[in-house]
Amino acid sequence: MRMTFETLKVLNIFLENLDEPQYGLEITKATGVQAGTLYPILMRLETNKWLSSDWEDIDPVKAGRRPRRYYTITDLGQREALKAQRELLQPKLGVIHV
Amino acid sequence: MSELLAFLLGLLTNEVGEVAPWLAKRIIRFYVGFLPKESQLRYREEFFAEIENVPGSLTKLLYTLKILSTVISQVQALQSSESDSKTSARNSSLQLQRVFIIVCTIVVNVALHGYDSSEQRYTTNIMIVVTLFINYLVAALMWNYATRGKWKEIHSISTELDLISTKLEAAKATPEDLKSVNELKARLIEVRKSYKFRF
Repeated sequence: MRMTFETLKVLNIFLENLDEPQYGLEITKATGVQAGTLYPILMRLETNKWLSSDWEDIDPVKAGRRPRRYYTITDLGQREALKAQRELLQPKLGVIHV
Repeated sequence: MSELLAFLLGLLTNEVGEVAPWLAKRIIRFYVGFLPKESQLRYREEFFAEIENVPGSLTKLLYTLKILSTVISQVQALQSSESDSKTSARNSSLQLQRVFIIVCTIVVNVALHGYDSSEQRYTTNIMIVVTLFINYLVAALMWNYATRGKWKEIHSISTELDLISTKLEAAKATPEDLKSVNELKARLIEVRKSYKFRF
């Protein structure tokens, strides 16, 4: 899967809060990734089974709002995200730093 | 004149503020129609829930526009996992889309306003910003609507090519598969050549 800086930022939020499901607006606030960029990323990660999502379990009448869609990182997502982070941090051979 | 304009602008801002949440929902309903059918209801509800959490009326509308500004990427992301062919097809199309929207915006604005250097520059500038915004929206909507069919075609060819490449990797490709690769490539080139916006 194509890995961009924004995708890594989104994955990082999930890795930092493994047991905490996240929803769109919350991720936007935490990462600074714009909503227009975030949704294609979430959709791609979910299509590739790196993330899974589910509706919030609330009574909309009592809560006075619609249920949110919460995203959680899968085991595959954790493995691949860590791998991607490692690759990013690894110094590349053949690159001359001045 | 300037008082009247200030009054009208105030009135317009008030109206837009009140209409914005309703408009945001209408836009979501319209745009979600571009997503694959099985995902439409889910994303409509998700986006509705998201904008409910955004404070303010105009902010809701802006947030909606931000979410939906990348509808082509969203359709692509939902339809498939990525491959090189799809990525390059998407990139070239997005470049075309941007060029189209910028050209449309410039042409419409020059046609409407011309170049203004008079003393009413301030008022004209506000009008130009408002018109630019409306032009951008209209052009984006028209582009997305007009190129829907082409996207589907490019995607179906890419999917077929991906299937064959998977077979090749697993050493299960038949001679017919190999023959159809060339046909598919030719079709893809044809579609890309005819990838022009027509009214």
